[in-house]
Amino acid sequence: MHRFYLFILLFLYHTLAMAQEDFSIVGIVFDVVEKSPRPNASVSIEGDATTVLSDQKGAFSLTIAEKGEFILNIALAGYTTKRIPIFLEGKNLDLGSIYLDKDITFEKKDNLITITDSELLDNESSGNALGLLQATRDVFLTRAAFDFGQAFFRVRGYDAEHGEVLLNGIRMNKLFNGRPQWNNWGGLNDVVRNQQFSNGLNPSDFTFGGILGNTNIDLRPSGLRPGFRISSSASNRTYTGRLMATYNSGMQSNGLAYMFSASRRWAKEGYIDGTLYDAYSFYGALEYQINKKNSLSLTAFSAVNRRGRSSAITEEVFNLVGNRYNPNWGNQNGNIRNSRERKVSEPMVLVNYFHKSDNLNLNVGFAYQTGINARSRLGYFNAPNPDPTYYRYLPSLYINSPIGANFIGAEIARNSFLRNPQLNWERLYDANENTSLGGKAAYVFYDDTVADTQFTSSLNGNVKLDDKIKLDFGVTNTDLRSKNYAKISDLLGASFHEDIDTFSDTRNNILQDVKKEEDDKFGYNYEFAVNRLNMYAQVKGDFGKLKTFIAGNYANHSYERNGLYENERFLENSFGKSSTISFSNFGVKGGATYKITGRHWLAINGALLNNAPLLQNVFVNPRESNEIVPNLQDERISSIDMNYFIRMPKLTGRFGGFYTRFQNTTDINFFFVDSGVGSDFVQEVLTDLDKLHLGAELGLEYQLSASVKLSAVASIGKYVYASNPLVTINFDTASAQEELIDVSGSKNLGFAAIKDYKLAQGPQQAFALGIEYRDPKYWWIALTTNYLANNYANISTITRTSSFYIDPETGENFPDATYENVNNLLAQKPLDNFYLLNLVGGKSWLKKGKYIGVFASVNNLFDEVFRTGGYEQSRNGNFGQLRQDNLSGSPSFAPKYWYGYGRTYFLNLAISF
Amino acid sequence: MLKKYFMHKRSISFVKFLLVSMALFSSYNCVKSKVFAEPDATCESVLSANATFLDIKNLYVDETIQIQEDFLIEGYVISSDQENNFFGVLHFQDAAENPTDGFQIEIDLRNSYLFYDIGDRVLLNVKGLYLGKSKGVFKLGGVFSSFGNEIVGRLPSATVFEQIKVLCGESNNIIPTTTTISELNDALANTLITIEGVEFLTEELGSTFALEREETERKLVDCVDNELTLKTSGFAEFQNNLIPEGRGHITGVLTREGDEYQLIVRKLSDINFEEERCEDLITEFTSSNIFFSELADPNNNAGARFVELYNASDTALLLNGWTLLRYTNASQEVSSSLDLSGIEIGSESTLVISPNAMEFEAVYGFAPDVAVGTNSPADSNGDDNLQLVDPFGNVIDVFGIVGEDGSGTNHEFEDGGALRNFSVLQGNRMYTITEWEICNDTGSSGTTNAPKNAPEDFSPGTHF
Repeated sequence: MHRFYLFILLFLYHTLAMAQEDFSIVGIVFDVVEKSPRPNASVSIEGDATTVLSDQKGAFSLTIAEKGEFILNIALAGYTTKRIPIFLEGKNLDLGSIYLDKDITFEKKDNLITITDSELLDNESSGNALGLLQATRDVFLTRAAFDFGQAFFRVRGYDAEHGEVLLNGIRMNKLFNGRPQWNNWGGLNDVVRNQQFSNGLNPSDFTFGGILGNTNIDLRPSGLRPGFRISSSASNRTYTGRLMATYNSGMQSNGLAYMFSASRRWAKEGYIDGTLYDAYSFYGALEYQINKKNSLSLTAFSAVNRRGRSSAITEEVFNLVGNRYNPNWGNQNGNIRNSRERKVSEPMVLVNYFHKSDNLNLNVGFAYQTGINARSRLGYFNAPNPDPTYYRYLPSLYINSPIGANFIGAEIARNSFLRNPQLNWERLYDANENTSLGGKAAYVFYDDTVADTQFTSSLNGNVKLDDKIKLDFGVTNTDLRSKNYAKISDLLGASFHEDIDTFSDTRNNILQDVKKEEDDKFGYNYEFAVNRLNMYAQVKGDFGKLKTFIAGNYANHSYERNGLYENERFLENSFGKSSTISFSNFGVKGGATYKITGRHWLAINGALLNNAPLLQNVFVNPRESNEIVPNLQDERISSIDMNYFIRMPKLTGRFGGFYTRFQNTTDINFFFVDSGVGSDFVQEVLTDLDKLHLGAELGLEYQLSASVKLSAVASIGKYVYASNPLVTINFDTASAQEELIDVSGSKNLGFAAIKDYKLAQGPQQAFALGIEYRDPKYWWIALTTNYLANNYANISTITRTSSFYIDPETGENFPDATYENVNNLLAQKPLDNFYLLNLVGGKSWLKKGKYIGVFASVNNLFDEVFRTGGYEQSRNGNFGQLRQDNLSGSPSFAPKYWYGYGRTYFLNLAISF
Repeated sequence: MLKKYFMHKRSISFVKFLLVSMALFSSYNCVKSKVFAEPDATCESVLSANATFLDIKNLYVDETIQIQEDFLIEGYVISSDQENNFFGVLHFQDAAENPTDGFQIEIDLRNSYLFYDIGDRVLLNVKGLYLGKSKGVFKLGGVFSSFGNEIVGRLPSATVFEQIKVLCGESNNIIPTTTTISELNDALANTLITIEGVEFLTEELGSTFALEREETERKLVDCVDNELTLKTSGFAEFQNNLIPEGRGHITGVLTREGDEYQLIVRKLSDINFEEERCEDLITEFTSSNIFFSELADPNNNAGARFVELYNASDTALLLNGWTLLRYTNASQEVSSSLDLSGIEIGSESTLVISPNAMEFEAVYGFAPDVAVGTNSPADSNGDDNLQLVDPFGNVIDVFGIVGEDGSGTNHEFEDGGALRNFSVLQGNRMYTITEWEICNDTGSSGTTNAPKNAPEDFSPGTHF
C-alpha cells in the first residue's frame, strides 16, 4: 500500500515536473513605521506549500512554476498579514519594498492566554487545546480559540493529547496523559510568539504529530522582536494583575543574541471565589550564530504557577449560591485558604544546534526538565468530610430521606448552608487538637505530588531533495522518571498522622513507622520509569496544481512501575518493580491538495494511527499496586478530513468535514459506588471503548471595506461513543469478607450499553458572527456573537452495565427495572444552549520610537450564566437507588457541573522600544 | 566609537530590565502564601447561659414545639461517639460534678466527639431548636414530621455548629456520680454515673457486647441480684468483643426508656471488671428444713391472716431465690407468687408473712417479718393450695393438693387455721394430713370443725 502511494508520488513528480518552468518572485519586507527591514517574515503563494523566510535584510526570493492569478501572502508575527494579488505570466517578478503594518490586534493573543490559564487548571478532565491555536490565521480556529474557548469548546471534539507542542523542535507533551503542560511556560508570552502551526492532519515540518494539529514554538531570540517590552494587565478572570518585562538583544554583529523575560501574575481571588493565583516566570536564552549556516542556542526557563482550584457543583448548590461559588476555600485568620491548590514548577533547560542551508535544515536538541506538579488535598480520617457541599450537609439529604421527605429539616439545613457556605478551617484545628485523639490527626492537609525528571533528545531534519520533493525526518528519545507520592504539608494542629486506610483499617506501608509528620510522605509512594522512542519520515511533493505528502511514524513505549511502599492490602504486588510493558506502534498519514485555480483549492488528508495506551491508562491503581490493566490494547485512530479553500481578494475561507474513529481505547475511573453487586470504592476499567467524531467546519471572512471585516464561523459535530466497552471494577479485599463484591478483588460487569451516548467533549455545535473595524488611526474594535449548543455532561459507565438492574439486597433484578424504566432514568440530556457576546478593541501609538499598545476585551457581555461541562456521579450504581434519589428532583448524587465565567474583562497596556 | 555606543546602550537596557524585573517581584507579597499560622481559638467567650435545663423542659406542654425564646443553656458533654456506641446524639449535664439535671440533643453529625468531646463545656442556643419528649425523655434537636406528627429529629450538621458552641477554658474532668443499681432514680437520668460492684449476668457470659448492626441489651447485676440493662450499639467498635467475666465498676450515661433505666458506656474503657464475680459468695441456698408451720384465716378478722414459715435447722438462711406460690381454689396455675429474695430466716425461727401489716400489728401486737399485699400468697381464705419453692425450682413443702379446691377437703382452713405438728422437722412435697392440725368451719376429712378467732387462737412468731 505504502509503496503504491510512493509510486504514484514519483509518477506525478515526473509527469508534472516536465511541464513546468521555474521563475522567482523577489521583494524586501519593511516595517512601515520604523522603515527598518524585517527578517523572518514568511512569504508564500496562497494555496501553495512553499514558504520562504525573509533574511536579515528583509529580502526574500520565492521560486514558483505556475501561471495565473494568485495572492502573495506575507506574514510576520506582530504584523498584519499582507495579501497582495499578483498575476503570474511566467516571468520573474520583483515586488520591491513591501511595507508591513504593525498588527494592532496583536495583544489579543495575551487575552487567549488568560482563557487557557483557567481552562487548564480548573477542569482537570477538560484537556482543551486552545493554546495550540495561538499562531493560527485560520478564521475558524481563531474563533474557536478566542470566542468558543471560554465555553470549553474543543476543535473537532478532540482532547489536547491529540495536538503536539514542541519547543525548539522538542516535544513537550507529557507522557502521563499525552497533553502539553502549558503552565511550564506560562507567563512567558513574549518569548513564545514565534510559532508554526499545522492544522489537523496537515504535515508539519517538525513532527509527525497528532490529529488535532501541531505547533512548534521557536524560542530563539533571533526569531523574535528585538528591544524592550513591558506590559501590565488587569483582569477579573484567573488573575487580577500581570506584569511582564522582556528584553531581546537581537542578533548582534558578533553573532550573539540574548534575551531575558520575566513575568508575574497574581490574584487574591479570580472570577471564581477563592481561586488565588500566584505565578512568576523567568526566561533566559543565549544564541550564537557560528556562521551563516550553523547556530547554537541555550535556553533556560522556569515558570512557577500556584493556583487555587474550584470544583464542579450540583444544580442544587448552584441554585443556592450561584456560578462563582467554590466550596474549596474558607477563611483562616482573615485570609482565603484554598484546600485544593495546584502548584506546577518544572523548570527546563534546552540546548539546540541548528543547521540551515539551502537544501538542509537540521535541529539537534536536548531538553532536561525536572520539578513538581502538586495538588493539595484535605484528607479526613474517621472525621466528617470537610467539604461544605458534601451530600450529607445539603438540604436534599432531608428531602431524599428514605423514611419520607423532611421539608422542615431541609429548610433548616438550607439556611445554615447559606449562612456558612465555606470550608471551616478553624473547625479542623479544633478537631485535630482534640485530646481524645492524643495528637493524632483527623484532618491532614497534603499534596498529591508528581515529581518528574525528564530528558529528551531529538533530531529533526528537512531535506530539499529537489524543487519538488522535500523529505522531513526525526528521531526523539524521551526518558521519564516520575515519582508519585502524597506528602503532608500541614498537620493542622495535630502532632502526627497515622498512615492507615480507615475503610479497611490496614496500613498503607508496612515497611515504615505508621506515624507520619509534616513533610513526610505517606499514603502511596511509587515511581514510573518510562521510555519513548519515536521516529518519523515524511515526503512532501509539490507539483504545481497538485501537492501531496505521505508520512510514517514508528514509536516504542515502555512503562514500568516501582512500588516503594508495601501496601497491606496488596502484599503480593505493591512493593518493587512491575514487569516492563512495551508497545511498538506504527502510524501513517498522507494527503493531497489540488489547486483548481490560485483562488480555489481542495485538500484531503487521511491518517491511520496505532498508539500505545497512555501511561495513565496502563495501571489499574498505581497508588496501590503493580496491577496492569488486563488485555491492554493499542489505541487505533482512523481519520480523514476534506477541506475546500477559497482565497478571493475580499472573501477568504474554508469549508470542510472530518470523520475520525478512535478504537480500543482504555479508560480508568475512581469512585465509590452502591452498585447492584455491592458497595465499595472501586477502580473502573473500560476497555474496547470506541469513539466517533464527525462533523463539518466553516470559516469565512469578508473584507467589506479597507477597515471593516465580517466573519462567519460554524462547527457542527457529532461526537459519540461508538461501542459498548467492557467494564471491570477493581477493589481491595481487605474489608470484611461478607461485604466484598468478589473475593478476587475484581469483577467483570460485562458490557456497558453506552453506544451512541454523546461524548462530553464540549459544545458539539458552535456558531459565530463577527465584525471587526480597524481605523486607520490605529485603533480597532471587534464584536462577535456566539451560539453554543449540544453540550453534554460525561456519563457514568457503570450505571449502563447490567449490574444496574440488580437489587443488591436480593441479588435479583428489580421487578420494575424494565428496559423502558431504566432508559428513561438514564437518558442523556444536553446542557442548556447559550449565547455569548464578546467585545474586543485596542489602540496603539508610536511616540519617540516607543510603541504603546492598549488592548481591552469584555467577554460574555450579557453576563450569561452557562454550564461548560460536567459529569454524572457514579454513586447510585443500581436502579432502585438512582430512582429513589431522583424522585424529589433534587438528587443527593446529582451530576456535577462546571459553570462558565460571567461578564469578565481583560485590559492590557504594553510599551515596546 | 560606534561599538562603544552600542555597548553602552545595551547595558542600559539590561539595567532597565533588571529594575523592572525587581519591581515585578516586589509585588510578591500580595498573594497569601501556602503557609498559614494556626488560627486563634474559636471558643465562645462572650455569651453565657441565661436559662436552666428545667426552664427549657418546662416549655414542653404535650407536643413537640419549636423553641422561640432566646434561651442559652450551658452544659458539660458526657457522651462520645469516638467508639461509635453513641450515634447522632449528644448528652450533657448541668455540672461537671454532682449534676442535678441532664439533657440530650439529636445531631446529624458523625464523629461529633472531635468537636464536642467529653468534658467540653458547651453553650447551646436553643432558639429555633425543637423540644420533644419521647418515652418520658426530653430531647432537643431538629424536627421530622411523620404522619402529620412532628417529632424531634437530628439537627442538620451545619446547624449543629451554629447552635452549639464550645465555651473557652480547659476541658473539664467529669466526675461521675457513684451509685448502685438499687439507688438509681430520675435525678440521675441523662447524667454520667459509675455503678460499683456489678457484673454481667451469668447466662450472658460468652456473648459479645452486641450483635452486628443491631442494638443489643445485656444485663448487669449486682451481688444481690438487682439488674440493670446495658445497651450497646451494633456499630460500636467493641460490638464484637466478649463481655468481661469479672465484677467491678462501670461508667456510662444513664438513660431512661419509659420506666426502665439503661446504661450506655462511651468507650470500652468505661468498664472495669477486674474483681472476682459475686458467684464466689454463693447467695442462693436450698434447705429441706424450711416449711409451712402455721396458716391463719381467722373467723373474726380476715385482715389478720398470715402465713408462718419455720426453719428447723440450726443455721440461719438467706431466702434468695425462694418463692411462695399460691394456687387459688382449684387452679392448676400459679395464682400469686412471692419472691423471698433478700429475706433471712433465723435458725429454729419463724418467718411471718402478713398481707395486711397494719391490721396484723393491731391484732397481734407486733409487726410481721414480711409485709406483702392483699391477694398475695399469704392472703389465702382457707381453700387455696400453697407451695414453698427453693431457688433451684424444687418444691420444698406444700399445703393442700394443687388443682383441688380446699372446701370440704382435708386441706381446708377457712375461718380457722392450720398448724404443723411440732414433730415435723422437714418440708414435705406430698401433702400429708397427719402432719397437720386443722380447724375450719366444716370439719370434714380429718379436720376439726372449730372456727378460730384472732388473736387468741393463733401463735404467729412462735413454733413449739
